[in-house]
This record gives sequence, structure tokens and C-alpha cells, in this order.
Amino acid sequence: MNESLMFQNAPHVRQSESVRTMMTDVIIALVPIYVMAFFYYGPRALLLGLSGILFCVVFSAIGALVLHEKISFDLTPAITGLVIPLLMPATVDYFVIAAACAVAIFVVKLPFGGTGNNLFNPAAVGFASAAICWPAKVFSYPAPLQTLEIFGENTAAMAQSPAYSLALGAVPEYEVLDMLLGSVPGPMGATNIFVVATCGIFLMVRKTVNWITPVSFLLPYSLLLALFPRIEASSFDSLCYELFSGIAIFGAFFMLSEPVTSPKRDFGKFMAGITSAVAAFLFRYFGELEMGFAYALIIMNVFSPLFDEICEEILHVLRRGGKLKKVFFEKKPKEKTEKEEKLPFVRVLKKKKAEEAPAEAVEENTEAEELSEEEITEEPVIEVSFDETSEEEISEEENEEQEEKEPSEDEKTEEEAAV
Amino acid sequence: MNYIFQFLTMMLTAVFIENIIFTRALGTSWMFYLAKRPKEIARYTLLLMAVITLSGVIGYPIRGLIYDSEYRHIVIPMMYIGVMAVVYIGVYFFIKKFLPGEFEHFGMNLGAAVFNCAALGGILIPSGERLDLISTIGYGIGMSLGFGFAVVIVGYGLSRIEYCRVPKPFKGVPIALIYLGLLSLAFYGLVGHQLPT
Amino acid sequence: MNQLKEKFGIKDSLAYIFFKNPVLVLGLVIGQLAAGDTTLQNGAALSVTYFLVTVPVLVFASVFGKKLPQWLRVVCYALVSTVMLVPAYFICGSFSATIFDSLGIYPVLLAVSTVPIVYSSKIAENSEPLSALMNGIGISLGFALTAIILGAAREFFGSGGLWGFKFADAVYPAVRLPFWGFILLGFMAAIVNLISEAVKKSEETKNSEEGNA
Repeated sequence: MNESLMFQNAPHVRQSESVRTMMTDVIIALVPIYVMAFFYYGPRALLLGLSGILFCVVFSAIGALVLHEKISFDLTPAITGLVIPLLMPATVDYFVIAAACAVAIFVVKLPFGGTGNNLFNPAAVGFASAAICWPAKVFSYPAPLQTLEIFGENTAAMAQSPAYSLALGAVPEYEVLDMLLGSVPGPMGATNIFVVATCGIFLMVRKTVNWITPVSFLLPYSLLLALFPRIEASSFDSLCYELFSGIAIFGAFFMLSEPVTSPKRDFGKFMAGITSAVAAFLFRYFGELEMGFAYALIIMNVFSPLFDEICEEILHVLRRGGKLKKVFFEKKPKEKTEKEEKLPFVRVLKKKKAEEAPAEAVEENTEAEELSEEEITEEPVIEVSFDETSEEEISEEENEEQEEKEPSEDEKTEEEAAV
Repeated sequence: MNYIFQFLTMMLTAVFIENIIFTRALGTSWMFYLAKRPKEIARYTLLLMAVITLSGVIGYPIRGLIYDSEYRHIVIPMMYIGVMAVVYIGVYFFIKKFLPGEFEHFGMNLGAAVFNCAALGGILIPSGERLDLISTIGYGIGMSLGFGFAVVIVGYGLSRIEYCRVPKPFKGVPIALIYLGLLSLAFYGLVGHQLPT
Repeated sequence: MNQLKEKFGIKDSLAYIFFKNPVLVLGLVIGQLAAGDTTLQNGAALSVTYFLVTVPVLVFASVFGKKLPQWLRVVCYALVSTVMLVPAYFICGSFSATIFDSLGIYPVLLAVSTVPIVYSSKIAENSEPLSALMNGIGISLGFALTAIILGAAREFFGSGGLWGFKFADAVYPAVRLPFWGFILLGFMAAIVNLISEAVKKSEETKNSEEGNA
């Protein structure tokens, strides 16, 4: 294969780095957070992380086997498996982690085509699904600085997390410094703000994470939190409490800035950051679940390609001038056929669509089939000819083409004939 | 003022928290139909809004009479389908007389655009929750707006999925359903943990 | 010839059970299944309702459809399907006392779903009563298959029981929520795609072998 023209999926890296080094960086940055979790909760924290890696890697291998694909040894499932336990309390059962990992791999990654194609952040969806299923297990946190039992029944003393008391409108009983150091009950990875921020800055210095995403998320988010305090305290205190409880800071560095699901352009990243800040704020204030950030992230992931497109258009206008094109619902294949029609020697024989067919009837019923067989049936048939033929002949050829094709689709013809 | 506030609250609830597609899962076949025809979304959403509001208002006084009947699970929906039939005939002749261009555009789809799960659901849910008239109207309008909103999001997502390297068995309906499920999951963050009993 | 025709009609309507499954391949009636079909009982109730609603409407459409004026047709179909809800109501009520509370509005919505309203006015009107009947039976069997499998799976994993009897703890309670309904239906559709592709391939190889011979 020609080395100069290569097709590669989303984490686009030039220079000496590769996807693997980027992912290794993320794993290195996650290690200190696990060390802190070990310090606060004992060996169970490490075992949760290891089981997360194991589940994700094994599940993605199973998925590759089922789909008859090559088992790839990329590190992305391992990162998903490392991130999911950090969002949960250290007392969480192992099968909750397994379920979250299964959702992340089998529902989010595999059907969309694996690494580089997933439209949603796997860790966010895995955590979100587990949180909906077992809210009592995922949102009840142990008091820190006690060694938890590795297996078996959980006997640790439980405590309310600051996020929960904030949602009730009460001032948390913890010092802000404690919250920065992480000695408050909460998700085992997201409470140590100092360590998380340091690791995030390490990633930004290594350029694994673009600085725009976390900054453009955290600044508007803190502004919104400071402007609308939920508790009776000064807006700075309220901001500290709100910002340091919950998974927003951890998520900003490790989930929001994931290269696959975030926009590719800098300006797009900026827009995505602001949008997800607003969404996270709304989910935190009006959502029923404590950790609204994960849900806000899923909503933002839906729109991140749109931000890229809008940004592309704006840059196009700024550089070259001209009108804004319609961004929404633009499909590339259509453009292609139009261009091909303009070429003199290439004749495109389009298949008659179901809409144009005399039987309007077919529409609704074949709708879903169109969905499934679109790639196959709606492909234009390209015929190259070097002699100039009159238009009548072309139309005859078209007719012949259709007549030849019709028997292949039993249902459509049957219904057309019936009409 | 109170009424306006009540109306807006109901509307926003219906658009975001109890979205007709993502939380209630109604009208999915119409959604898949419209997701590929972005130009039609506004037209069908308006028609849906008209049908829901009109049927809700006409059925409201009748609903009060039969609410405590023993067979209310079946009598109320039947009554509402009857009301929808009346509304459909009215809408049919109204569009035919005053908006002939639209009438041709809808063609044979007009009947199906009125009689569908989204419309009936948008009428039955407020009736089941015993909302008063203003909330019923607000809820109906919010439901139809939420429908349009959901169709736009899903249509956009489906056009994005074409760029993904979807494995062969997942192409078409399966990936669309999984995408819809994941979006619906995100909206459950707003609803919270209310498992159906 | 007539016998052959009948055979073909049956074959076509049988295709609705699996290869042209109304839910998994054609993408119809997804909402009611995703939200309402949370237990085996609910699945059975939805299947019965769908059968009672679909078949009479399709037969009615093929017999009377062309004789009615255009504006009245859809109304008539909706009213016929609504009337058929009454027997469905009493049959489903015999399953369990709380079935309507757990099903909510979803069985009623089947009366105005795509097949009774759209399919009848667009396709069944132009076909003969017998083939309409066969199609209706095929479609509702396909629906019933999906509904029962999905309902049983969701009841087993979501509340650890079957047909109302509990014999284990719930493994994954969230599976009863609508979004898991969508995702499970998506996976079932993928499995159907996988199987029908395999069948197509094997038929093609058979045909090519015969052609070679």
C-alpha cells in the first residue's frame, strides 16, 4: 500500500507519536489517581481498576471473534476499563463494573465499528447505564481513609457525598481544602481535585489533550455555577463546593477531551466545550441523578460532528468569502453523483427511487428496507461510453436497466404490480 | 400569569423530560420516515400539533363524564379515537379547501399523519394524568415540538452513522435502534431512576 | 395454477414471520415494544391485541376499501381496529388483574399503528381478501414472535421471573426501561440480519452449484 496516502480513523497523529503513545500517556496519567484511591480505600480500589481493564479487553476480544474481525491490541478498551471504576464509589460490586464495561464495549463501541468510529464516549455511557440501573449502589459512597474488604459484603461506614447535600440545598459539612485533597466521600477517582488536575495538566503538556477543551468547558461551567448558587453561601464558596464535588473536573480531562468523540477543529472544540458546560449545568440543577455530567457528555457527543461542520463553514466563509451552505443533513454520496453527471463521458443511470415510482403506496412499507438496503440498492450504476448517443437512447437504456433490476427486488415489484 | 407559567412548565416538561420519542417511545415509525426527509419535518410537526390540540380540547369535556367508568382503560381511548376521526375529517376538508397545495403534498399520507401513535399518545398521556385544560394544551404542544426536536436529532445522527464503519449485520435498522436507545439513555439522566413497576 | 398461487401467497406471508419481520426488519411498531413489552404477560397481551386489530382491518380494507370515498377510508380502518380492541381488552384482562396498569396506553396505541392504518390503505386495498388475510396473519405472527422473546428476556433479566412468577433476584433491573428496549431490539435485528445473510449465501451457493451441474 502507498505510504503517502493512508486512511486512518479519528485520533489523527502526525510526528513521532502514535495512537499507542497517546493512549499510554492517558494510562500513565490515570495511575496516580489510582494510587490516591489505594491510599484512601485500600487494595479494593486497585482490584476494581484491574477488573475494569480485564472486562473491557476480554469483551472487545469476544466482540471481534463474533464479528470475524482481527483482534486488535489497541489500548482504548483498557482506558475505558480504567475510567469507569474511577467514576464509581470504591464499595461498588464487581458485577456493576462488568455490566458497565459490557455496555461500553458491546453497545457503544462494537456496533458503530470499534475504535475510531464510536459516536459516544464508551466510559460515559457505561457509567450512565449502570447509574440508572443501580442508583443505590453507584451513588452511595464510603467514608474515605478506611480499608475496604476486597470481596464479600460491604461493611464500611457510608457517608453522604457533598454533591448529594448540595442537591438537597444544604451546605456540605466539609472544608474546601479537604475537597481539594479528596478526603471526602465521593467517586473514588474524581474527588482528589489536586491529583486529577495535575494529571490533566501533564496530559495537556504532553499534548495528548488539547488545552482548549478542558478550559473552554471548565471556565463557563464555573461561571454558571458561581452565578446561580443553590445554597445559602457566598458565590465563591458555592462555586468551590459545586465544582469540587462531582465528576466534572475528572471528566473534562479524561472523557470530554477524548479524541474520537470530540470535534477535530480547535474552534469546534471551543464550541463543544461551552455547549457541554451549559448542558452539564442544566443536568446538574434539573436532572434527577447526581452525576449529570455523564449524560450531558452523551448529549454533547451527538452534536460534536455538527460543531466541526459549522466551524468548517465559518472558516470557509472567513477565508474565501461566499455564502453559508446548509450544514444540516448534508450527504456526500448525492454530491458525488451530481458531479459525475456533469462529466461528458460518464453517464449515470440512476435507479428509480421508491418516491418517484407510480406506487406511492410502497413508501411507508419499504421505508425500513430502504434504511437497510440503501447502500446496496441506491448505488448509481455508472456506465462509461466514448461515443455520443442521443438522449432517447439513454432513456431506453434506463428503462432496460430498470426492467432488468426489478425482478431482483421481489417485494417492490409485487406491490407495484398490485397497484 | 399563573396560567402562562403553568402552560410553559407543562410544555418544557413535555419537550425535554417526557419527550415523546426518547422517554415515551411513541411514533417511532413516523420518526424514521421523517428523519430522511428533513424538509417535511416542520409540516408534519405542525399537523401533529393541530391534531393533538384540537382533539385534546374537544375530548376534554367528554373525558370528565366517563373517567370513573369501570372500563376506563378501553372507553377513554375509544372515545379519543372517535374524536380524532372527527378532527381528521375536519382537517381533511379544511386543507382541501384552503390549502390545496399542501393537500397535494400530503397526498395519501394525510390519514396516516393524523392517525398515528404519536398523536394518540399525545392525547392519552395528559388524560391519564388527569391534567386540566391548560396543561393538556401545553402538554400537547410540547409533545409535538418534542417530536420535531427528536426527529431532527435522530435524522442528524443517522446521517452521521453513514460515515462510521458499521459491521455488516448492524447496518440499517439495528444501528438506528441502538443509536435511538443511547440517546434515550441520555435523556433518562433528566428523568432519574423511575423504574416502571 | 390456483394452488400454486395460494402456495406463493402463503410463502410470502410466512416471510413476514422472520425474513421480513415487521418489527426487526421493516422497523414498524418499535415504540410499543420498547416501552410496553417489559414482561412475558405484556408480550402475550400485545401480541393478542395486535392479531385482533391487524387481521380484521386488512380483510376489511381488501373487501370494502375501494367502495368507500377517499376521505372516509382511514377513518373506517381506525374505527374497525378500535372496535376490535374490545375483545382484545377482555382476553388480555383474563391474563392478570394488573395487566392494564403495567401496560399503560401501549396496547391501545396498536390500533393506530402503521400496519392497520398505512398498510391497509396502501396495499391491502389492492389485494384479494385471502392474501390480505394471510398477510395479516403472517405480520401478526412475526410481531408475536418478537414480542414474546423480548418480553420473556426482559422479565427474566429485569425482575427474575416469568409470567408473573418470581424465582430469582433481578439481574439487571434497568432492562425494563424503554431505552434498553430499543437497544435489545437493535441487537435482535442484527441477529436476524446475520441469519438471513447466512441463508442467502447458502442459497446462492446451492443455486450456483445447480447451475454448474
